[in-house]
Amino acid sequence: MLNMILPLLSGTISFVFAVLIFKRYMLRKGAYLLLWGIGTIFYGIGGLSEAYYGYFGWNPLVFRLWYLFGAILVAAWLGQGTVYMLAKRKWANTLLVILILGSIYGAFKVFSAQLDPVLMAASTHTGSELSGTAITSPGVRILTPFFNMYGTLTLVGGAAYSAFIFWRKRILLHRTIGNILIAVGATLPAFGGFFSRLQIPGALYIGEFLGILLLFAGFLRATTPMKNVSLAPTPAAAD
Amino acid sequence: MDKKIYSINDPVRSYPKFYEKIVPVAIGLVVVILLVLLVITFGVAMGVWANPAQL
Repeated sequence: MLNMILPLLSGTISFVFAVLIFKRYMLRKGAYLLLWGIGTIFYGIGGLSEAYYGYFGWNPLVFRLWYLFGAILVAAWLGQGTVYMLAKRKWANTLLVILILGSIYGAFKVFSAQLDPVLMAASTHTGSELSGTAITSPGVRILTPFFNMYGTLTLVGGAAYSAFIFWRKRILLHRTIGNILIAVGATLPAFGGFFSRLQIPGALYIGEFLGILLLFAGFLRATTPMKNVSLAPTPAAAD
Repeated sequence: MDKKIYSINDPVRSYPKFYEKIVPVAIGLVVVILLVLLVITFGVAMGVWANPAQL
C-alpha cells in the first residue's frame, strides 16, 4: 500500500510544484527556473513510474522511464538550475552542454539495456519497489552515482551557500529559511536511495516523498517574504 | 563618492533571536550531511555497496 500511495503523492506534488515554477518562469524568465521546472518534472515522472509499478506491476517502458528520469537525471537537472543561479553564465552554459550530452548518453544506455524484473523480486524488497537491480547490462547503473554526485553537490551545496550568504548579510530571512529547507529536502531522496541499497524497504519512496515536500516548502518559503519579521538593527557594541 | 567608515557603534542588522541561533547550526549540519552524502555516493560509484552481503 505504502509503495503505491507514497510515490503517487510524490509524483502529483512534483507536477503541481513544476506548474508553479513554470508560472514563475513565465513571469520572471531566468534559466534557473526553467531547469528547476524540468528537474521537477523528472521528479514527477520518477514518482508516477513507481506508483504505476505499485498499482499495475512490471512494464519495461515504465521501468526505463523511472530509471532514466527518477534515478539518473533528476538531481543533476535540478542542480543545474542552481548552477545557473550562482555561477557565471559561461560556466553554467558549458556544464549544461556536458549535462545534455551525458543525459543523451544515459538515455541511450537505459533504453538499450537488458532487463530482468525477476532480479528485483530476489532482493529483500521482495520486488515491491522498483530497483536498479533489474538492469543486467553493464555500464548503466554505474552512471547513476556520477550524475547524483553532481546533482547533490550543486543543489544541496548551492542552497547551503545561498543560505549562508543571506545569513551573513542578515537579509531576506525567508530566503535563508527557504534555502535551508531546499538543501535538506534535496538530501532526503539521496539518503533514501542509499538505505534502499542497504535493503531497507520503503526507504527510497519515503525519502522521495519527504524530499519533494521539503523542496516545495522551501521554494514557497523562499519566494514568499515574511510579513511579521523585521530585521531589527542592534548596536554592535552592545556585546 | 563618499566612503563609509564603519565603527563598532554602527547598527548591525540581525535576525530574530531564534533564527540567529538556529540558522548557523542548520547550515553547518547541511554541510556535514552534504559531505557524508558525497562520500556515500562516491562509495556507490566505486562499488562499495554493490553487494549488501559484503557489508
